[in-house]
Amino acid sequence: MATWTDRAVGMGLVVFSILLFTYYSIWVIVLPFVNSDHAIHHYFLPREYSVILPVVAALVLVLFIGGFITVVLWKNKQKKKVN
Amino acid sequence: MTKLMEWLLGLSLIGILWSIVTFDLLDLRISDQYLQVAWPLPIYLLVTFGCYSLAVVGYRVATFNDCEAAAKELQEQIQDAKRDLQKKGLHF
Amino acid sequence: MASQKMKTPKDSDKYSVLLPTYNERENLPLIVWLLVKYFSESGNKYEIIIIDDGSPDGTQDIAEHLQKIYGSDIIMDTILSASLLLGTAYIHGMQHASGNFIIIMDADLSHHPKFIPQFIRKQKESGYDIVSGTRYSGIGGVYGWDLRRKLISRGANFITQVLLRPGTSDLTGSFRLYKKEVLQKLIEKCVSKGYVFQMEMIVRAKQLGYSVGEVPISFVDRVYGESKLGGNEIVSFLKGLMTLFATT
Repeated sequence: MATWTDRAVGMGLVVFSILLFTYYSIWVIVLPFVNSDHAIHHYFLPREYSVILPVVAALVLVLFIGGFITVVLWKNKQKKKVN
Repeated sequence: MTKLMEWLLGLSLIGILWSIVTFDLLDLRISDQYLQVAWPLPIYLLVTFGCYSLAVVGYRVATFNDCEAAAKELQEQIQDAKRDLQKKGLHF
Repeated sequence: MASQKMKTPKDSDKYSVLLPTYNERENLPLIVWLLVKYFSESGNKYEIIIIDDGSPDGTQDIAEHLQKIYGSDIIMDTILSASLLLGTAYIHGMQHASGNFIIIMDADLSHHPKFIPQFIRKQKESGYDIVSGTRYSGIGGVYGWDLRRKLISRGANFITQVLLRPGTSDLTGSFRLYKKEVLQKLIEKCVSKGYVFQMEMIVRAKQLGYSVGEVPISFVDRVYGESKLGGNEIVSFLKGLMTLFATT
């Protein structure tokens, strides 16, 4: 058995991703079939954001990973110069 | 075929199918509502994959076994080994 | 009936354990003692081949002493390559190996010899070409890893599974049993270093149609406190992964 913190973080990730997936699925797949004056539409942003938000998030992630790799490789070069 | 090629092939196929539907390349005359679902689909697949990844990694971290018993057993066996080897002439 | 068969293994099967060492003066006698214990109990024929990379801490003296105690079951080889390329160590070790099976493992006590009889049994079950110890499935696990290490480990393993679809749960593990000719063939073909080398072995094995079995193992990490998993290891892992993704 893992420690309780490990389990908490792990299951937290599971719950978070299920919630995110559910919200997003309703937004993209269910809403187009729901009458436009139904109350449920109030809980969701305009449709364009269903594409804009993930794209922005993905870009941020790519930049972060790219930055991380750049910093590590750059630090390596510094070390080699010193040696 | 390398894994990279497999992925490129698969993604191209999905890309072609999606373009046909979204840009109405084959004059399929799909109803408005289905079109509304179709055009964000690639992004939807990405988000689904992202959520799936988070969930699987999260679950695997939560269920990653901590081998307390193995560590203890190893400690005891190390003591046994040291004693036995000292008898046989090894100095620590 | 079956248990009778297990106690009298095929006379021709011999297991050569390859132990690459660098500064393992403390652990070497302990790992050898454990290997001797479990092999004697299981009745399998074996030999232990220590491949030392010119350790400055007296590992070789200890190895010679162990040879005096345990006799010809222990063979020692010294190589002096500054980088301890795993492939080089294995190639050197195999030159001395008289067994038809090779077991590779770490000498720092993170891999426990008690699993070797299980590897052997698993191999005989279905005639596997390779049996790999896994920390990630069944009752496998680790000791001594914090949350950060576990997250990185599971995350990296997940990406590897998605990209390479290897059919095994633990690709970076280095506790494995190989048929000798299989290991020879794979070493010829593999070019990576470090744990990417271990990954490449399994991926190429699958390409060549070899069968791989799995046995859950417990990995007791006593080194983690000293050698953290830093940015360097992560980046070189990603680089190795991308190379394998594009070339296999």
